[in-house]
Amino acid sequence: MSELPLITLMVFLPLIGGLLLIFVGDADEAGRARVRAISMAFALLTLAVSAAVYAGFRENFAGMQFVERAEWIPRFGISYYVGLDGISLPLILLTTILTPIVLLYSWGEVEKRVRLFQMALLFLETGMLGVFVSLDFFLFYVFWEGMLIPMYLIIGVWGGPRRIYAAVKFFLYTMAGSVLMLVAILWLYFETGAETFDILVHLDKPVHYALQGWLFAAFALSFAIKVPIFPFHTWLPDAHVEAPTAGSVILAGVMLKMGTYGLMRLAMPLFPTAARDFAPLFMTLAVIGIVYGALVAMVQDDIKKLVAYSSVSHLGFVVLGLFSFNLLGASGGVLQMVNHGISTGALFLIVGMIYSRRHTRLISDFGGIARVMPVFAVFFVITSFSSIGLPGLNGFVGEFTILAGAFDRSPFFAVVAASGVVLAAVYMLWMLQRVLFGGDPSPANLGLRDLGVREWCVLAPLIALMFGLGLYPKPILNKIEPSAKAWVEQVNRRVLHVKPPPEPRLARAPAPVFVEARSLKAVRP
Amino acid sequence: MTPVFPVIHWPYLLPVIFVVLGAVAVLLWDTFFRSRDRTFLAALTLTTLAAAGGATLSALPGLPGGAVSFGGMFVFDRFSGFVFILILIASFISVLIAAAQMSLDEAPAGEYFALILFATSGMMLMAGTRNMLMIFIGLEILSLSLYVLAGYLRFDLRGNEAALKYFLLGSFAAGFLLFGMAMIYGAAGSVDLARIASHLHSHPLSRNPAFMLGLGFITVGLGFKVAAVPFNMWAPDVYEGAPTAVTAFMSVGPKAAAFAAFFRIVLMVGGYAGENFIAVLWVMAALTMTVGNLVAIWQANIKRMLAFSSIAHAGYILVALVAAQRGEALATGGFLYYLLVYSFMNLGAFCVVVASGRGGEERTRIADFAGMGYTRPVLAAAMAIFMVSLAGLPPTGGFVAKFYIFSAAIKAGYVWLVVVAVLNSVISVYYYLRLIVVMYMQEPGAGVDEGAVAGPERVSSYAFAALLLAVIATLELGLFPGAVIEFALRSGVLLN
Repeated sequence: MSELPLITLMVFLPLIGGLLLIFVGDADEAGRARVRAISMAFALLTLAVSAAVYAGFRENFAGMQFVERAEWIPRFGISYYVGLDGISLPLILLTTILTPIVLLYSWGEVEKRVRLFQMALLFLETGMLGVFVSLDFFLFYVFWEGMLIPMYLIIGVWGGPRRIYAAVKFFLYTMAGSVLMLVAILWLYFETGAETFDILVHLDKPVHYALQGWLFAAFALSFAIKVPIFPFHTWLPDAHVEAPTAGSVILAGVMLKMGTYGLMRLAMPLFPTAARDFAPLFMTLAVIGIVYGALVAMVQDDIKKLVAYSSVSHLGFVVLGLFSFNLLGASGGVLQMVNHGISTGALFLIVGMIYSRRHTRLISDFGGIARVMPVFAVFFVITSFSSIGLPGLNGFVGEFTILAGAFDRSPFFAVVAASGVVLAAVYMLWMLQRVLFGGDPSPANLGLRDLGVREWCVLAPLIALMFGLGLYPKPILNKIEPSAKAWVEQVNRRVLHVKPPPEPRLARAPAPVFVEARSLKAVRP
Repeated sequence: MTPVFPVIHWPYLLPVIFVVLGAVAVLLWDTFFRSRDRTFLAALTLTTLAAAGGATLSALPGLPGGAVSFGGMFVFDRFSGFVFILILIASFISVLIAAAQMSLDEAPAGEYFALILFATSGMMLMAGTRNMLMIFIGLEILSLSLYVLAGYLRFDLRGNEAALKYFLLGSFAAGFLLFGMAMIYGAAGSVDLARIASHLHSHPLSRNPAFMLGLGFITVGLGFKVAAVPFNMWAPDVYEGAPTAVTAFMSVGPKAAAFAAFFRIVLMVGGYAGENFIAVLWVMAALTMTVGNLVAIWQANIKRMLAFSSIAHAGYILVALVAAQRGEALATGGFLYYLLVYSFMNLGAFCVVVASGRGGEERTRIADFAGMGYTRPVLAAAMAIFMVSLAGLPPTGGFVAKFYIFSAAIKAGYVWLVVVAVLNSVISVYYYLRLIVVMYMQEPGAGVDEGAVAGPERVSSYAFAALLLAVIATLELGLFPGAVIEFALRSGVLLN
C-alpha cells in the first residue's frame, strides 16, 4: 500500500481543477486558452495518478486495494470509504484516458461558454471516478446522482436543436430509476440490522431470500435504465444525438458502463439468489437488445444515431456475459465494457469531426470521402472494425469471451447473440461503404480537409489501445481475472434462508414516563 | 387551599423576552425618530434575533431534559431549543431579504421589522409549549402579524387581495383549531398535552367521537397553516400577492412553528388515536406531495411555483410525522433537520428572486430568468444550488434531509409511502431543473447584452449576506452533515 491517498487524489483532482476555473475569466481568447490549459493539466494529472494506481495494483489479489476510509456521518454508519479491484480498475483507466481526450477534442469545437463547459467535464470526471471507487452506499449514491447535473448541463447547453428535451428526458429517466434504488438501499440497511452503509459488509451477508426479489428489482431497474437494457433504452438515442461530441463520448464511453458496473458490483452479488431467478429474463432482454439495437442501427440514415443504437447492441453483450454467471462471461463483460468505451468513444469523435466539417450527419450526404480524406478514412475503418469485433482488434476479445461464457450457460442465447455480431458487421460495413467509398465524392465534399494535428492526437491514443488490447490483452486480463473469479463465487452463493420472524411492533407511541412507572407497578405480581 | 405560584425558569424564557423587547424597541425607535434610514432598524432587528439565538444556544448545554415554566404554558426542552434556533435563523435571513427588497423603500420600515419580530415571538411560543391554548395564542400572535405583513404594500392591489384572502381563510382555520381544542378538552378534561396523555393512557378514547373529531379539527387547523392538501388553496395566491420578502418569511417560519406544534401534539397524544389517525396522516402526506409537485409543473410565475413547491415540502415533512406517530425517534430528528435545510434553501431561492429584480421592479415570471446564468452568473449559480437542493439531489442539504426522513419512514415500516415520496421527488426535479434550463440553456431576452453585464454584478449587501449564508449552509448541510444530524437527533426527544 502506498502512503499517498492515491484514490482520493485521483477522484478529487478534477473537482479542484473545476473549482479553480471559477476564478479564471473566459471573456477573451487568452482567457479561454488559460481555461483550457488548466483543465487539461488537471485531467492529465488525474491520468498520471491513475497510472500510478495501475502500476501499484497487485495482481493475483481479488479484494479491494488502495483502500481509504474515514468517518463521515457516524450516526448512520456512513463513511467515506473508497477502494478498487480488478473490476473497477479498467473502468477507472477508461475514464481517466477518455477525459483528456475529449477535453482536447473540445478545444476546436466548443467556443461558447468555454469555462462552464470545461468545469462540467471535470466535475463529471470526479462523479464518474467516484462511482467506480465508492465502497459505501451513501457515497456511491452521492456520486451517482451528483454526476447527472454536469451531464445534464453538457447536453442542455451545448447540444443540438432538441437539446433541452433530450437533457430533461435523460435526467428524469435516470433519476426515476435511482430513487427506487435509494429506497432499496434504505430498506436493506434496516432489514439486515447491520446499521452500516458499508457495501462490503452487505456483500458478505446477503439478505434473506424473501426480500431479495424486491430489492434486486429496484437496484436492477436503476442500472437497467442506465445501461440501457431494452426496453429502457428510449432516452439513449435522444441524449446521444443531441449531446455535443464530448458529451456523447463520455456518455457512451463511461456513463453507460455505470449501469453494467452497478449490476456487477451491487445488484447481482448483493442479491445472488434473486439475480439467478431473474437471469432468464435479463438474458432474454439482453439478446433482444443485441438484435434489436443492431436492426435499428441498420436503418438509420444519421451516422450518430447509428452509433447510438449500436451501443444498445454492444451493451446487450455485456449484460449477457454478466448473467452467464461464469468466469468467461464476467471477465469478458468487463473487457467488453472497456472495449466499447474505446471504440464507440472513437466513433463518436469521428462522427463529430465529420460533422464539424460538413454540418450534417446524414449518410446520404456523403460518399467517396476516402478519396478526399484518406487518413480520416483509415482511422474510421480501423475503429469500425474494432467495433465490429474483428480479430486482432480489441472488440474481438471481449465479444468472443462473452459468447463462450454464454454458450456455457445457454447455447440458445449464445447463438442468437452471435447473430448480433454478424448484424454489426452488416450495419457498420454498409455505413462505411456509403460514407467512405461508393463512387465519387459530391462537389460539396470535395473541399473537406483531412485530419489536423489536434484530431490526430485525439484519435491516435484510442487506435493504439484498440491494437494493444486486441493483440495483447493479457496485462489487463490478469488484473481483471482474480476479481472476476471472486465475483463469480459471490454470485453463485446459495442464500435461501427465510425471513426471520418479525419483531412485534408497538402500535402506540411510548407512554409518558411518569405514567409508565404506574403501569409497570400494575403489571408486577 | 393556598395559591400555588407556578415555577418559572427565567433563563429559558430569555430568548422570547429578547425578541418581544426588541420588537417594542424597534417600534418605539421608529415612532420617536422618524428617520428614513432603514439601516439602523435592520441592524437593531438583526441584533435582537442574534441575541435571542445566543440566549437559546447558551441555555441548551446542561439542559436537564427540559424545563417547565408556568405550569406547562412554556416548555423549554431540546426540541423547543432546536426549533427556536431554526425560527430565529429564518427570521434573520428574512430580515436581510426584506432590507434588500427595493419596493419596501416607499413603505415604512419600522413597523415591518417590528411585525417580523412579533411574529417570531408568536412562533417561538407555539413551539415552546405543551398547552393547547398557548399554541393557539402563539398562532394568533403570528397570524395577525402575517396578515398585516401580507398587505404591507398598501397601494398594491394584489397584496391587498392576498392579505384579505389570508385573513379570511386563516380566521376560519383558527376557528377549526380552537373548536378542536375545545372538543379535546371536553373529552379529556385538560388543555395540557401531558395531562391529556396521562388521561388517555388510563382511559382510551380512540373510539370517543369528541376526541377523534377534536383531533381531526386540530389537524385541519394546523394543516391550513402548513398548507397541506386539501387545505392549501390560500397558499399560491397569498404567496404571489404578498411582497416577496414577506412570502419568503411566510413560507418558512410559520410553517416551522406550525409543524413543531403539530409534532408535539401528535407525539404526545396522537399515539392514542389509533390506526385511523395514522391513515389520515398517510393520505394527507401522499396527497400533499403529489398535488404540490404536479401543480408546480404548470406554474409560470416563480413565486407561485415556489408556493406549490413549499406545499410539496410540507408533504415530505408529513411523511416524517407519520413515522414519528409510530414512535420512530429518528423521524423527529429527521423533521428538525429537514426544516433547517428547507429554511435555508427556500429563503435562498426567494432571496434570488428579490435580488434579481432591477430598479425596484420585480421579475417574477420564470421567463424573466432566461439566460441569467450568463448575465448574472453569481445569482444564477446560487439559484441553481438552491434548486438542486430543493429537488433533493446530492451533494446538497436537500438530499441529506430527504435521506434522513425517508430512512426514518422506512424504519417505521412505511416503504410504500417512501416510494410515493421518491417518485414525487422525480416529478419535482422537472420543475426545479426547468429553472436551470431557463437560466443556462436559453439565451438572455432581448435588450440584455451578455458581454456588457459580464462585469461585476450589483447585488445589495443585505441580499449578498443572506445568499452567502444560505449557500454555505445548504452545501455544508449536504457535505458535512454529521454534527447537525447528531444535534437534530438529540433534539428529537421531547419532554413529556
